[in-house]
Amino acid sequence: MKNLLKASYFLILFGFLCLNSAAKSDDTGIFLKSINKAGFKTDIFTSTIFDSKIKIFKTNKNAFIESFSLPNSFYLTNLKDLGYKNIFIVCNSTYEEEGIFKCSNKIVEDLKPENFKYELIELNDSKNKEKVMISIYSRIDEADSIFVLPSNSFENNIKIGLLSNYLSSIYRSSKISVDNPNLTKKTFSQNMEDFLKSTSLELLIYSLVSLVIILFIGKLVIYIKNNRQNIDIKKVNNLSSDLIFGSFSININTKSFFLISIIFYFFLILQFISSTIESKTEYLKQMAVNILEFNMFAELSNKNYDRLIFYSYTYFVFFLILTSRFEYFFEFFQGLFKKIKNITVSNIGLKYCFIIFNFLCIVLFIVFNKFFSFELLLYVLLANLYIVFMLYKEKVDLFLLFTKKEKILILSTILLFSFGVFYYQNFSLRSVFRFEDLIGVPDRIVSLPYKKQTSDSALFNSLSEYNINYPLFIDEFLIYHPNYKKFINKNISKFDENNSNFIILSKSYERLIKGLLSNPVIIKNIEVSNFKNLVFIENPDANNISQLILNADLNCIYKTTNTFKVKVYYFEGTSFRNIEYDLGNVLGCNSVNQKYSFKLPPEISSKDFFMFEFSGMDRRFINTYKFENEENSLALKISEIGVKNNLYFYVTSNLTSGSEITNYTVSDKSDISFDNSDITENLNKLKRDKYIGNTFNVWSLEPYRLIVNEFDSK
Amino acid sequence: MFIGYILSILCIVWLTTVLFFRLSRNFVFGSFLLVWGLVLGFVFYKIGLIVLVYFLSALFILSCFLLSFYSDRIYNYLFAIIFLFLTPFFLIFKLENVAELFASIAFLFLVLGFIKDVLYEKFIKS
Repeated sequence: MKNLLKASYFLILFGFLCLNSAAKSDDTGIFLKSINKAGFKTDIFTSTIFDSKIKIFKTNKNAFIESFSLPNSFYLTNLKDLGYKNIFIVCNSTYEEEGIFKCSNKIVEDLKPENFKYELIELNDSKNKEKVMISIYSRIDEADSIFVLPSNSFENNIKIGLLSNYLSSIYRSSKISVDNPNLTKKTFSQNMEDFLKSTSLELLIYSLVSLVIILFIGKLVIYIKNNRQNIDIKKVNNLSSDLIFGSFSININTKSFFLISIIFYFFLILQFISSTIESKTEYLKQMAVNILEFNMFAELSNKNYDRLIFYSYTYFVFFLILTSRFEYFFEFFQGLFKKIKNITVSNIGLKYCFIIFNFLCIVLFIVFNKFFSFELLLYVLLANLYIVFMLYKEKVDLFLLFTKKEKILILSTILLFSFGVFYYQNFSLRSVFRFEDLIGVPDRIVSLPYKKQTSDSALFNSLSEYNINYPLFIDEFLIYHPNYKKFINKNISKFDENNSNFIILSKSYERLIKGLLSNPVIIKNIEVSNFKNLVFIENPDANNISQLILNADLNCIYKTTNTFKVKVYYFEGTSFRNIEYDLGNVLGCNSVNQKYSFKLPPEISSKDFFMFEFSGMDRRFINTYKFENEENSLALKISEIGVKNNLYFYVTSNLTSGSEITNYTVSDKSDISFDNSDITENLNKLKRDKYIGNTFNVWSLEPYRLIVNEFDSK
Repeated sequence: MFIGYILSILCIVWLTTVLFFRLSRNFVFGSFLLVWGLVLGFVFYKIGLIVLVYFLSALFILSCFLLSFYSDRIYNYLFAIIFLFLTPFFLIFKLENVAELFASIAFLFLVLGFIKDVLYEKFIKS
């Protein structure tokens, strides 16, 4: 026994030391924990593709870079080419991403890039007088951003807390896509998410916790209750030992093994909860999620030995506790089923229960469509099934159970009540709505886009408490713009040339281009800014030109593994077409710029107008491009426009002052105008008149606009 | 859209039939199972496999309710007191969420005890 104890103490000490050293060697811990706490699930990988090693925490579409002591270059642009949606950078030394920003461990300097929109977010904790500055560079043509943070943003718990709040909101927004789940069936995991938010889960937790407690102390409580007058201390001791060790209470060896395993686990937990984490309960919750998502092989390949030890041991402890209660669990359920089987129910009880549950069933069926809560229906149906089963078992004759008077009374009440509910639901309920908050999460920072899931009968409380000083869209409807008083939503086919302030948007990039190309007069009115990614060609000599040649001159500093492509959009009769042509790889060069030449096929060269775009490389690195033909005499009219993207693809006119703004969409939804700037009223009008469904996206033209910010300094 | 109305009409027709006509026990039980199966099938069609998760959790919760209903009444109150007694300890250790959970369970046990006191005599043959 002594040897066993000695060995166990040694084991505890060894594990303690191992984890201590593992924790100390992890210099990226705080950043990683903040990311994980925000909800991002990360795998660490070291990238060597840029001739230099950098440590990246990657998720599905997001990259987090902490160690950034790299030579100045275009690393971020290259990362974009790898398909990352958002890049989070913590600068711990001086770095310059050419043309975008310079950063150090204390400050970020904006270099005013053309293709990026810059925004500085300041999060203030007024109570503790701490603040964090986050520089965001959003690419205009893609719904993604680069977040730059000096490493001093992680210097204390308050700052980490502020950042975690912010990262959580970004995580939620980054998951939102334009697809409306109303149109598609929910996946099992989405349904599982709903289940985790349902009342069922709450009741399940109550039942499970009660059951676990009963399994632990049930025997002791029963003994004390039955022997109140004559309690035997020895028996109580035995039962207490059972309470702690369960099936492991056979002898001292099994008891010691069980106890030491549990104590060792507590040591491990203490080691794992970092002192830098603000809220320990939150961290424990996160840990519980991580336990469920633990992948032994992934941890092994990433060499995360501390996580591997901890989570493997957690599973071992779970298994141990479960086996210790296994015996009791079966005993308990055996007893329960025996008890239920032997119960004889009185006719009067069955009579009332039968009527009540059937009545509830009918009411729930009637309101089935309006408030589709199958959860409640399931409970009522199950209870009803139990009652009907009891009637069957007790050999009760329903015909004889009720008198004739009772039968008539029951049926007439049910019919009258059902008709009342039906009438109320279909004729009166249209004007009865339930009010709720637009932002349903209790978070202290919430960014857009935000997906709202609500019910048919819901309208929204005043939005005045939210910080909205930017254009606000609900799905594809513009409901607010700070610079205008009237907001008109129309189909693009109703485009008015005299309209100087407009936005054109679409879910699909190609549908937007189709809309623009089908009415080229729009293109003349679109805003011309530094940012351009689409070229509109008007060719008055189309009939005289046999072949157009496109010559492009590329900046040789740019290096990518992508293929440089040209995509051309045009109309063939009434059908909209597009063709993509590969121009070759962009391999970079030393001093001389790279030149590409491409002959457009005759079917495109002879079009009166068409559109084209470069793809496969960053537009910043295309120095010049021009169209030529064999005779070098062209009267082409070239207009460049920039299709921007954040959830939806959109173009805007050169927005000037005025009283109204028009939002054109390419979908077939009905037109709607709002004559006032009351956002709440406009939103409720959309909802009440069913322009939007029960699930919709709240968004703005620029990504990650904050709608709730309790850390705002203003 | 109309599935709810169809089911409610079906249920009313079933209720009228079993109350006003003397039918065999097997018919009553079998026809109820048919309605029940139809509803479950529809919900399964509407939301998919997740219905099983809801079904199992509802079954478990109702079994727990039955257990407390059929147990000796003193246990409901005893466990309510135990949970209530543990609540302040969790509050002292700043585990507010756990304390809230225990307080809710204590309240539920009290409610279950009350339901049992009121209904048990009427429902169960002595």
